[in-house]
Amino acid sequence: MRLAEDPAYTRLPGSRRALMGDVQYWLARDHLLLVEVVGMVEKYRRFDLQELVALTVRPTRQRLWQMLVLGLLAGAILAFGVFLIFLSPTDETRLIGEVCLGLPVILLGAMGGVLWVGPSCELRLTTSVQTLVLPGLNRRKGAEKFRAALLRAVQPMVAASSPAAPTRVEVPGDPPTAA
Amino acid sequence: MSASALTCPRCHESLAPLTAAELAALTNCPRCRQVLEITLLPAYGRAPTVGQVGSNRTADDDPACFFHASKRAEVPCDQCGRFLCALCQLVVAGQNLCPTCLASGAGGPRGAWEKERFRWDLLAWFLVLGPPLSLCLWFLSPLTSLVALGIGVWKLNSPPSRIHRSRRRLVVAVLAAVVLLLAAGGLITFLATNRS
Repeated sequence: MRLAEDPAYTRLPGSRRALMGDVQYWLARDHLLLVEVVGMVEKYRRFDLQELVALTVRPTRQRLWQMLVLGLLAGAILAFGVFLIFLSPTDETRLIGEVCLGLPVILLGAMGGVLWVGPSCELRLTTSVQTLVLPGLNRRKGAEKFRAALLRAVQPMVAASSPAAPTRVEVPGDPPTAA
Repeated sequence: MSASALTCPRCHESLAPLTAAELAALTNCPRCRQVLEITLLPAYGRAPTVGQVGSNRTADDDPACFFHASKRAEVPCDQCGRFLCALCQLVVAGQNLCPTCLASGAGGPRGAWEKERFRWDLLAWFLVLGPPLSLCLWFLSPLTSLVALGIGVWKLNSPPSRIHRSRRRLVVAVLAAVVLLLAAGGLITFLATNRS
């Protein structure tokens, strides 16, 4: 049975879909299931909700590097196109130069896309026995949605856990409660 | 153990000395100043569950564990009925299983402890589309389509993907392989006829 048809599982946000590298997160009553397609193998990793220690969000510079690479590439192609248009002696190379002027528009679109998906981050899940960088959750928006959904699931357990832990975990998007 | 598992992702400095309240309010690593945001979950501050080693048999009429003759059996395996000591008793999805049954995946709800499944549909599609799209290996297409067809028929009833409609994809890959084989056959026939 597919997880989507299984009433025991709820899909969590933060899934990534790629040609051969899908990642999906599913939440059951007592565990979190990470399904990852690596090559031609579908791998399953289960995390008992009772064994989750912490979620750590760390901002990364991935977006900065992506913008830098795309910007430099666009700039280089643009400069090459201008060079061909103004300094080349033949019509054919001028035509190539005009095509080169169009390519940066696509790259600028990609830069806009990178900006639109928001800041990059790394989300780490620490359990009693391991720490794992959660795949596919490298954007702040997705990581926040995932964290909020997971916190809603573990909220009753957090409240019932040791007195050292906070009595209530702030869930982004939840209305504030009266003290 | 669980609290000490918390470290800074950048400098790997342990955050164990901090209290729960300090961790919840933490915005930077105390050592490297890396921006951090930590959310504590149920197991924070709780020692991890420790397994049992099983008790020794005290009398000759004590039931013995199938795997450890000197240990006292506590429960039978829900699948094969072997007597198990506390060390060998593995509770999976509410069932008491022995290590052998767990390793073989015998019984129980399939998927409760399954670690991976091979995606035959992806392999079939790779064999169908790979050679034509690679351009330089297009001539292998009839052969790989034949292999994809065989895989499709052989693995149609294998456990499907848990997130995709892999069985449907496998059927479509088989159909695509048949179309490619027919096209290759037609092309070969056409070339042979024209040459003669």
